[in-house]
Amino acid sequence: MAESVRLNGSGSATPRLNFRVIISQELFLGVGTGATINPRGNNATIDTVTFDYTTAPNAVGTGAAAPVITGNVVPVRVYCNRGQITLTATHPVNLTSGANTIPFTQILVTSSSLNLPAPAMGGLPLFPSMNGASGTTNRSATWTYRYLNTVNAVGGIYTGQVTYTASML
Amino acid sequence: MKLNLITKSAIALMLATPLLASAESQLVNGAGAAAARLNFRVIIPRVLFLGVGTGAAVTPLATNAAIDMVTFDYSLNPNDVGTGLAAGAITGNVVPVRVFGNNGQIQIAVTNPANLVSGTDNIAFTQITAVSSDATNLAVPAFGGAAVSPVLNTTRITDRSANWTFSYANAVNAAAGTYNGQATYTATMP
Repeated sequence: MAESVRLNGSGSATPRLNFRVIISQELFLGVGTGATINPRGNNATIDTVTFDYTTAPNAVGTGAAAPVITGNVVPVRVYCNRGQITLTATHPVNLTSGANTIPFTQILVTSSSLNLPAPAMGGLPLFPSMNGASGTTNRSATWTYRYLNTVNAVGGIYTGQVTYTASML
Repeated sequence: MKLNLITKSAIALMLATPLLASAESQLVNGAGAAAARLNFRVIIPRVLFLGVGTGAAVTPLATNAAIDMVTFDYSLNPNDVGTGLAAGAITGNVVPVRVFGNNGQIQIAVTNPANLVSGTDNIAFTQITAVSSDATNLAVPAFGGAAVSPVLNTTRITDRSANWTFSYANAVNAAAGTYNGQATYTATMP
């Protein structure tokens, strides 16, 4: 076995060459701005979804949508090349404004794609569908958030953060 | 052998570096989970609402310019004037009231002139009294009396409704006339 063969006289020279392609195991999750990065990579920006009732104080607690909503349509992408993924959402019990609170479950989310469902606040992990039998998942969707607005909240600016985690089984 | 070492080093670097990232997008080569965060903000303004009469029924809470009238009319029973008996015709004396606030203890006060007047004649406003259908949670401030404090539903949230029923004491011998007066109820909140 050699990379060169020297023949003296008749015959064929048959040097051989080996090839190897190394594909590392990869898992990617992007929620918000980071979902659109190409090629896939890390992004440190954390987007904010805002529901602002400042101009419609009478609507607080009525179930009506906030008059000003920003950032609530969120692009999401998940990629994995080694089998089924699980997707979970972890968050504190409440959004907080000082000592005042609004339950995180007041925030609902729907996905534009059944292949990439959005885990509900306080809900179970979900499973993005794989693209084929190869064990690869490459799914994109937009997740749309809304504020349920069924609690009479004390005046304030309530903030909270959810962390989505993609894991390979 | 040398190539093998380089390959191993590259793979080790790929495995280690992305796991240090904390971001809204994360790429992980090798083992480990990928995490991405999203912030939420809900802005709730301070809200204070008081409705007395027609305005109390407005949903959602909103400003209403109609001022209701409570009338005690003795035209049908003039002989009862000054006897303490009720008027023959009473309209508008059962008044729906709603108070809502989201920033702490509310107080409701009433301000009114000393008298209802008819030209130069008058009847003391204190001849009119009121009781609440929910005296515990939404009492009525008496004319000439102290402010009342509706009971908070939860910490800093008040949402109380009741009917306030007004009566005319009819304990004075008033000169004939149509006596008018207006009371203003004021809710205050921190």
